[in-house]
Amino acid sequence: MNSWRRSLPLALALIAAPCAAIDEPASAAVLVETMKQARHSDGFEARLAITSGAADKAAARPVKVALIGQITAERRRFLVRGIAPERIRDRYVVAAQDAAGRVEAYEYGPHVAGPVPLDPLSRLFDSEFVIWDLFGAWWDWPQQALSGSGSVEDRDCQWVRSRPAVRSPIKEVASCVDRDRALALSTKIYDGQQGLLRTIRVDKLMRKGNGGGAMAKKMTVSAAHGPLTEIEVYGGDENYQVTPETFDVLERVWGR
Amino acid sequence: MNLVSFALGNLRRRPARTALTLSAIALGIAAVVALTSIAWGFEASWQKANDARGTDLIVTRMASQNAMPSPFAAAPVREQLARYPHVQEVAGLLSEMLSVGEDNPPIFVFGWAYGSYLWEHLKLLDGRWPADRDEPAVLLGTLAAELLHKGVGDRIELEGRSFEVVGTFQSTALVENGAVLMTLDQAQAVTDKPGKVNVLNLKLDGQATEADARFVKEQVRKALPGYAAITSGELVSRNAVVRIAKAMSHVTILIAGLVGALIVFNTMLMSINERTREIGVLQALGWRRTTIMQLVICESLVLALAGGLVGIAVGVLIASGLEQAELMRGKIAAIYSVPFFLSVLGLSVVLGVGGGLYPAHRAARLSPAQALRHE
Amino acid sequence: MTRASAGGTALAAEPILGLRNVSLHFDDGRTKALDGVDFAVDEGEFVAIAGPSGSGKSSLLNLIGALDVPSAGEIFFRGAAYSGNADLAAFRGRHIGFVFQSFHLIPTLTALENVMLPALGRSWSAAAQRRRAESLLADMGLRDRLHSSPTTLSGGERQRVAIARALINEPSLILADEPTGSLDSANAEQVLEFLVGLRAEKGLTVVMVTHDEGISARADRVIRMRDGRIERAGQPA
Ligand SMILES: Nc1ncnc2c1ncn2[C@@H]1O[C@H](COP(=O)(O)OP(=O)(O)OP(=O)(O)O)[C@@H](O)[C@H]1O
Ligand SMILES: [Mg+2]
Repeated sequence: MNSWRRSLPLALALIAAPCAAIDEPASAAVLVETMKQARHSDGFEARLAITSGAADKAAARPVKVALIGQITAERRRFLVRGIAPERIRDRYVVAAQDAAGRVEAYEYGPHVAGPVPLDPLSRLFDSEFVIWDLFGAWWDWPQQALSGSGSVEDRDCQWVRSRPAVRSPIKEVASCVDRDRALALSTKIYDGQQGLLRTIRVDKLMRKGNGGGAMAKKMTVSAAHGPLTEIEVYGGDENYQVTPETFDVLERVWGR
Repeated sequence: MNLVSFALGNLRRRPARTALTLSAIALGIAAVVALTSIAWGFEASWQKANDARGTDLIVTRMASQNAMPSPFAAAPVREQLARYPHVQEVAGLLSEMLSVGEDNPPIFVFGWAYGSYLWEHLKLLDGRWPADRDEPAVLLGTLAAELLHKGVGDRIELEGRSFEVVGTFQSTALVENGAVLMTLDQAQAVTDKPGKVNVLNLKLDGQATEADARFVKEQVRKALPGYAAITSGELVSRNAVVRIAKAMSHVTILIAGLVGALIVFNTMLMSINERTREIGVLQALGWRRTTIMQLVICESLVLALAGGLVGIAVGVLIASGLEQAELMRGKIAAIYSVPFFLSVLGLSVVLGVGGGLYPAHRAARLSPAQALRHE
Repeated sequence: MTRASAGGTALAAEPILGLRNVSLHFDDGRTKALDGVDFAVDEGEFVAIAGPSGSGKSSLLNLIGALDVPSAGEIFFRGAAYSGNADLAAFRGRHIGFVFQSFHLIPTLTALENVMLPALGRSWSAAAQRRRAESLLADMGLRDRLHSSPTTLSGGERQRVAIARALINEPSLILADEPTGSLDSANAEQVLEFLVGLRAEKGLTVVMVTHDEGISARADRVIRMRDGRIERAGQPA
């Protein structure tokens, strides 16, 4: 009987989030606004299977983590909890954006004594999974410009280039936005010295459970150097109940 | 003597051809009978599995036909549902596809409300049931135990947590035999969905009728926007396997119908070509065109009906053979009914008339003088 | 024998059959099977049609029997022209009895069933049909062969079954196309006797195609055909 009751498809808040389709001509401002609205969530949980070194897929064991996120007008914060394998079990990474737009991250769990600061741009779990990317901070940057249309996996999209006004380690982000799905199908992240750091590409879409729109089910992160990382959503909850305990470590660090 | 006995005589004139035609029709009809009776039996057995579980209505949150049900906080919905008349029990269920350990493909993990009626239809084969709602214990369905190579006393890992296998069970539903089962509370903990379910199963009391089920369904539609109540019958008819089986039987009916009609068509066309002069004689004897058409249609009908009867017998044999086959034993039970056999005969009539119509028209259209000159 | 005495009835004033300038063409007029044929047959007459092969004898019989429609001209039955629009099958069933050279019996049916065949699909009761068929076969001297298959009958017996079949609907006109052509002389004689007897006993009109001069000598009148035309009508030669 339960064959239709598959694992729950989930919003992956990274770059992907659905929104109502827009029909007016897409200016950069419209696309940016669409993406900002689509990213809003009072709470979600996504279970990710992160596989790096996809060149030898069979040998690569996925790392499973739970990602909890909250993106509202007041708060933008994420919590990553390691599930499997054993070595990452119950290791936590928490990150939040402060009023100035800066992202701070901390690591805690049985393997470290107390929350220790972590570079939000660091690669997690030996993969190209980077917590800074989750925030989509570039949608708040002042310089947004269209830069032509593109196509990812046969889906049409519109390239938007975002540049920060203030000093930032990331100098430019280019996103190819699918207007109808309110989803960035491809995101390229550049820094000042090396140029392109990594590309995040949406491979598979799924429909959102509680309404129209699509979300990423599977994506590939390719670094300029190094192996591919595949991130797949295998479970989760679109309407996760964030409790005071969820981010209490962060609250304590910030309250300090 | 009448038209039918004349028609029978005409068919007997070419015994080999008649037999071949008849067996081709019989084969087609047999395929229809076997597949359809099994598809129905299949549906009925799912229905039975559902009935065995005692679930009358299933409440989920569903945006549309294709979207997956999202987990929802059970308490408020459950409270609402419990208020409806005849609702005896509301049992929460949480299901996910999770991989057990690192090497196994994902498998269904069910969390069932502890102590709910859901557990009652299972047959415990080995071990015991969970001792309480918070025991980190699982039971394995027969198929799951086989797939995972685990049994009572072993441990399995789900989402980084370790569980003891305390029992194995057998269910009337295949899906459940392939699943890992734990209490709802454990499932909620393991997937970090406290208080949530994807499905609420409703059991109505003994007095409840189908109308009562429909009433509850209607209430859910009105009072709980975003939620849908589905009767177990609807659930079965939405089931993919049942749908595939039915679609296959429909396609078979279509193909068998077309092929059967073509065979009748071909045979009758050959037959009337051979008998052109005889048809001229009949016309000379004062037979009207309609009588000649009746004769040809009658012959094709006899062919198709005889093929249909033989086909029904062969189809029943095939279906019972399939039921006995090693692979299928106990999983399917073909269902027959008088209306079903009558419709199969109806199908035969349709293909007999369909296949015979044009040849009959051809025969009736012959010019008698030309037909008599025909060699 | 005069026409009036042949019919022996008041109806003799009007011929049972009249052909006026009847032609039958095939292959877009390249073949003229019949080319302007005029003649009449009186009620109760026994007419023989003679002529070489291909002269149009069978074509003429087909037209009279409403198995075919003329390319030109008109055919009258008891004064009324029959045209292509009328229910020719009903007309044949009601008024015409055919006898063919090669019998054309249905091999899967018994003698009795063959005789009943023309009545099939009509409103007669089965019992009445059967009684009538049995008595006709008895008249033809086939009382013992009612349930025989045609394949077990001799040529003469088969043709007698065919004559019984032609009579079952009580027609007024018998059309026989070389009814003795496939028979030895003894059987031919017997069949001819039956046909002549029909005229004598039942007052039926018989039109018979034959090659045999001896047989046409038994007719009231011989119509000789050549190349689709009537050569000379008159008393037997
Ligand atoms: N359906 C037809 N199509 C073409 N030609 C035909 C057809 N029927 C008859 N004919 C031609 O018309 C002519 C007269 O034929 P019909 O059969 O009337 O001759 P017949 O006098 O009966 O000959 P026989 O003594 O050989 O039976 C012949 O030349 C024949 O080939
Ligand atoms: Mg001839």
